[in-house]
Amino acid sequence: MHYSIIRRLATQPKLANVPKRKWKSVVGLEVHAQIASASKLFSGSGSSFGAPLNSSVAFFDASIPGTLPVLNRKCVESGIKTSLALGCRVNEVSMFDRKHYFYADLPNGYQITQQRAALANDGKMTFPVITPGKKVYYKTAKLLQLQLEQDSGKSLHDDYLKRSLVDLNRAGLPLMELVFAPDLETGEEAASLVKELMLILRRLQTCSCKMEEGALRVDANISIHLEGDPLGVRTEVKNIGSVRSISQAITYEINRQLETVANGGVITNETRNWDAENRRTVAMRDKEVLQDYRFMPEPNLPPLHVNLKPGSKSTEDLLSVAALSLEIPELPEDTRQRLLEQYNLNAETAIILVNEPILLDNFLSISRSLSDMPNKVIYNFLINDLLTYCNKLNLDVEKCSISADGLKDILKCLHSEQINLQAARQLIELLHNNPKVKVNELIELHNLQQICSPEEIEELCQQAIANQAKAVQQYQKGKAKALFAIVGEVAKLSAQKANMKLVVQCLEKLLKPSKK
Amino acid sequence: MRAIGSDTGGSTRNPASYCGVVGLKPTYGLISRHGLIPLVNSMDVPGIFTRSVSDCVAVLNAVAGPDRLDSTTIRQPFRRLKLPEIGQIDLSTVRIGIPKEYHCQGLSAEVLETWSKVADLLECSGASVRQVSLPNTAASIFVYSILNQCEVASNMARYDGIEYGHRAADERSTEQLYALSRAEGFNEVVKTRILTGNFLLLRKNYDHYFEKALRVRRLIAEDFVKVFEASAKEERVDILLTPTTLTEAPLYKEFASLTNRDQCAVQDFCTQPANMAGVPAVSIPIRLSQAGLPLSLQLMSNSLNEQLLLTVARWIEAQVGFDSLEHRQEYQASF
Repeated sequence: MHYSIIRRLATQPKLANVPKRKWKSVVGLEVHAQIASASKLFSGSGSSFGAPLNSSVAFFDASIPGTLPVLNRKCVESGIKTSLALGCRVNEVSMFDRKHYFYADLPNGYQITQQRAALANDGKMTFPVITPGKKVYYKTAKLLQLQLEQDSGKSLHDDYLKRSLVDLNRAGLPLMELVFAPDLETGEEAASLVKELMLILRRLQTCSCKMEEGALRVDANISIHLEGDPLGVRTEVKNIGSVRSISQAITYEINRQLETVANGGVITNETRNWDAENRRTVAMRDKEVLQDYRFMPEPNLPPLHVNLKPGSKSTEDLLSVAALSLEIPELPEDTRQRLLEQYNLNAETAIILVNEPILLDNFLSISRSLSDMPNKVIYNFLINDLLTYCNKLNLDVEKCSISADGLKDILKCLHSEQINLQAARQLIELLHNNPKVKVNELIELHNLQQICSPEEIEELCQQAIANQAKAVQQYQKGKAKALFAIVGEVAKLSAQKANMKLVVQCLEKLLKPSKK
Repeated sequence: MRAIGSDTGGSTRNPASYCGVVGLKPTYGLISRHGLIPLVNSMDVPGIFTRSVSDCVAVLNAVAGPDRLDSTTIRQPFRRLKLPEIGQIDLSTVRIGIPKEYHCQGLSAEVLETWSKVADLLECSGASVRQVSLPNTAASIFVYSILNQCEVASNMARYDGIEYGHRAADERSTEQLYALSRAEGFNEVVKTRILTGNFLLLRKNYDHYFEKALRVRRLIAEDFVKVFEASAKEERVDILLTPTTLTEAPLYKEFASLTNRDQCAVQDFCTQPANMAGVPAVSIPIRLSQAGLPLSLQLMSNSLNEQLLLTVARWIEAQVGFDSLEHRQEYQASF
């Protein structure tokens, strides 16, 4: 310890002459996405999440000798659509391989995957990076490979009875493994990539993307190096359970590596687990020995051929990539562009709306049916009021119980000045808690109508003027801002229900003549 | 008598040959492997044992054809075979090839004599018979050995005592459970194959052994294509005539004196090139040896040419009139 301090002090002056090089962090992602399909990749058993233990297990899934894999056509279609949406080259011929390792929840002793020739290669994803408090920017990451493979079963450990049990419901479920190049630098970029990927997969309906169900799993490879040097030794972080955790885990791991190196330590190639509770990465206890998976071609599955001819049609034996490309819906980035062009939204608003599919649906639906309402009123209400309310409750907007019709009714009342913005905000909460009650009834019940009658307004204003003599004086001396205090008083007196536009007009009228 | 076997390197044809019955290994992919316990998936085919060739056709007609549950079955619909009556069989258009490489070390004089006699018989009856070459035949046993051990290592990985089968009493850890279950459950032959197979599949060995074996396998398959589909018509043959086994059935003491690998090398020499190439082959009994044991010959044809293969087999069957039961007297006398 002493030695290193002395040494550092001794060498510091020399270092000062050399231009200081910056540390760079490098992040690459591997994503496993469960393909949304009614049955497994190679067997006919069901695939619903949460089915009773070991109830969705075909003989093949339990590795009964004599059973053979039969490739699920729907899964190949989903894989191809996903590849196309991510700009990949779909390979005319791809193959399946056996990857051998022993694990209690891997019944065959091998996983069928695509190692030598994957379904697709060389794609890329361009996505907006959202960092709180920073300007949004776009980043691109290369997608090296997209392959089809089987999921494993699940081991359940009973600590009390000291035994392990195996559930094979997940064994053989279809996965797409997406291997991205290490083109990212930060946790936010990684989280943004995954967020965009989830939007795309959901549009394609090829994956539910429910991370909490394990339908989408993210492993991150992280390293640091000095600018100009080759890439450093990387660690792999697994067990990342949510989009937010991706950013946290990677940021933590980058900082841990920087700190390790700063303290004279060395980064070792290891697998670390994300501990979400304590918000840190932890080295996996059983140190992984270098595995040799003894890959071998899967002899029971012939090579997978696809038809790459433009304009071709799919047949019983051969899927047409061109035909599948016609089934690809509008992708998130196209939607953003459309929002910019057709709805005159700014880029940031478009990104927020597209990133919350439910907000986008509501926006498009409300904008269509209330054509005289300015788009700005709609998206401001959705983003500034609805989204803020949900964030405050730590509630996923998707889970908010307010329907599009409910939002429409609130906006209609707001637009017709039946209620003011304060009341509209209150209605969000009321409607979320009482989703079955009509907006008009809630307004009646909670007496939220805006006060618009000139007499009532004038009466309120007069009283406010009386209450705020000091502000009145200042205002009349020319301090325009003092009017806010008086307006605020009216709001208070009216229990936030006065029509503020009318109040301001009225106050100006009442206070100006005396100035003459 | 009808029975189903499996044939990876000759396991239907060899016993059929020794026992004096008909043994057919159909074209790879003609019969579904669904339900067949795998040994070497890319060579395994369900085989058919019968007393006669026509019984064999009946069984084949019942079980052949595409199966949704086996992706390696041939997709085109199977056309049921119908063999002509013996009298209607015309050998004048049939070209028979005698591959010289099958005249190998260890071939017994009796088998060689049987082989020559049947070749003569075919020639005398109008078939064109000539010598051909399948130059890579001798490599087959090595290729087979490598592919077999690799696939066995892979296919046996499922026997871990977790889902089914023997489970050892050691439950200290999953690894211990695997190790003991597998140590107790497998015999020496299987253990040797698993260890060798896993060694051959290591990343550093894969290209040298597995990949190379696949390439040589291709050469072996091409040997067959060259004789069955030669561009020059005069070089083409329809049927290959070979021994099935090099000798009559050996005594247990002779058999047990060899290692498993040598047993295969001798027994499978003539049979497993057909598994490498995927072509159909049938063993038919011809006569009894001096010792009263059946001697058989093998016929091979191009893929999916079972119709001609079994037609010629049926013709030979009718000529040689082999019936092991009829020879029972002679059988007993020789012991």
